[in-house]
Amino acid sequence: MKSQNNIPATKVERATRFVTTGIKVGGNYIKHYAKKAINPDLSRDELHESNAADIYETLSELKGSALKVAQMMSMDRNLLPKAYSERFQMAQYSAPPLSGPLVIKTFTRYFGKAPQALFDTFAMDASNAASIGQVHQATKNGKKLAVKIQYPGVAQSVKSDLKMVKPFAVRLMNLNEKDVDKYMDEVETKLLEETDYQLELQRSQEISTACGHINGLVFPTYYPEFSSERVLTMDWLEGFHLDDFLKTNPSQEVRNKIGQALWDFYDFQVHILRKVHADPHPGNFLMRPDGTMGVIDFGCVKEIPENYYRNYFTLINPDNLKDPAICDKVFVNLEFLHEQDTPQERKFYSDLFITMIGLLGKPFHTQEFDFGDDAYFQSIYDYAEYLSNLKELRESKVARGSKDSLYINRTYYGLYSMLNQLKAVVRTSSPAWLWQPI
Amino acid sequence: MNNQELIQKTYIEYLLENGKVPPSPYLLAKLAGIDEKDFYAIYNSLQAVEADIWLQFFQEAKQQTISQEVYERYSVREKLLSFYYTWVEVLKNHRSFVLFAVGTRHLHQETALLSPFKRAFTEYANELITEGRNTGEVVNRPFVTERYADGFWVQALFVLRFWVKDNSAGYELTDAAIEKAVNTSFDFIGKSALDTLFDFGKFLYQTQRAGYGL
Repeated sequence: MKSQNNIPATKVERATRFVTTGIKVGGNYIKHYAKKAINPDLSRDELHESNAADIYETLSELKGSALKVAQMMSMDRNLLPKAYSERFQMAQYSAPPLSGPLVIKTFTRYFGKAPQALFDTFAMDASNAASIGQVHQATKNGKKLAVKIQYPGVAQSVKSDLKMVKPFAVRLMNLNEKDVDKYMDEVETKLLEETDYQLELQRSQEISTACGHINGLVFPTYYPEFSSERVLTMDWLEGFHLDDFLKTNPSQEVRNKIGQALWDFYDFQVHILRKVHADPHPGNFLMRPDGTMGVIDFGCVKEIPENYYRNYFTLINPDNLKDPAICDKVFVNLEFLHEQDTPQERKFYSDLFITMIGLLGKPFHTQEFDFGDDAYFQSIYDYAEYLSNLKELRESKVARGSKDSLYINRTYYGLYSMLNQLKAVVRTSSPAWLWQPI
Repeated sequence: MNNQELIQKTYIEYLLENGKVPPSPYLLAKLAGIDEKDFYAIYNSLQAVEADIWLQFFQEAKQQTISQEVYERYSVREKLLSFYYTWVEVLKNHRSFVLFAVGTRHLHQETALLSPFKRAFTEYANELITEGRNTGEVVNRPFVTERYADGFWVQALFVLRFWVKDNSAGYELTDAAIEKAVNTSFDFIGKSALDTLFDFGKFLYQTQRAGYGL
């Protein structure tokens, strides 16, 4: 990837970036149709590929919240065609680093001294980049530490960034602006929370303590004395990101072990804590050859409202899914169906959701599920592809699904996608109440 | 505290308490508790005092910057960044004075008041540019390279004015502005597509003339 030398500064400059992207995307369409005139077999994949590349490039130069939206969209494979999501997944790793002097300045502001004076050693070169900050390695009293530092001005730019992402979201999701606002508000709240490292520190400590008993999971210790609004210090965890981990050819047993830890981690958070690490992208999990896994980054935590929780999981039970009365009630509660829908629309959308939920709920229906089953994932993608080609859906401007679905869905897509790449066989536990008749 | 520091300190205090510059060297000397002739031994006018204050801010910042242990390991870009960050920290200690100075008299036009600072800054910028040419961070372009230091002077004034207007917590936005401004400037003076284009054009021109027709 090309290294980036400057960050677009002003709002105008940022806006210009988006305009440029708009033009490029438009250009890609023209190119596509021109090529297609010559070669009618040309698939749309290639078009998506070039669009994704251009949009990604723009977003990664904007960094901050725009990059976060790219990350979110890349998790949501159902929302984006495959090429978009593959390209966007790169956003999950590296963004360009900030300068050494600014790192020192940030430390001096919060701790009154340079990082070199605070720690025994401090590596000036960032070891990796998170979307709104970067991570440095340090040592103190013989302990290896990871020190996350946030870019300045991120919180201020969240709002204006989102305003500019909106037209893209409107286009990609093909919704009306008002509905997009509902989701954007949720995203904005979460993004602003993510810029607050004090809050992250508190949540990290809370969730890692609560999940400490789960087999195979390793959480870092956090250091409040070396943390502030813009700096977060924790133990350095060894391990590979998913892609690199898979390159080491881990055995099926190790894959299953890690997959199981992932499943148990989410199962416990969703059903017991009702608070979930809602950023399950591969950069936040460090996998080791012995089948254990480090979990970092609790910047994005979604609290699941009780009412939403009950409704959402009721339909995991296939018996409930067969009962039209229950389905109807749940769909209205989850805002899948609206009062103004005609009976035909009601039937049409109910059928779609029932199929979709039946598909997505499959891992819950058996004691054990093989996430390596590509046919299963293909059937999800095929169905999503089928949905995206449905004229009725394409032309519908009505948003379906409550704002809470945004992060919950993202969490499950992320979880499924990682388990699939791991090709793990997992005992898919779920709470007993799901299986009781209503 | 020597007389020079004493005069400067009294000058700033008078300005902050009265909202205007001291009316005469005589009064300033009296308030500082020194003889008028001691004042004239150092400064020839009141304006020279204020010009010297700006120069002192610069020298203090530069001294702090280059005395950092990491400074020698920094690239030229980082050295300049580090200077600006330190300079803003120094200015922070005198924010009221700076607000008054910048707010009341269009400082950028009144270069006489800043000229000692400008001279010293330009000299430092030229040192950095020369170093950058050795490290390859700065590309030598005939006629243009000599103007780089002037560009950095404009940049320094930009940072100053941005910080004066910055209302963000801890002047965080100024940090971002410095980072972006310096990165952008080094993009311009470093090797860029323009150089390769120019080089390519020159190559084509020369080869065409030598008979390599296209």
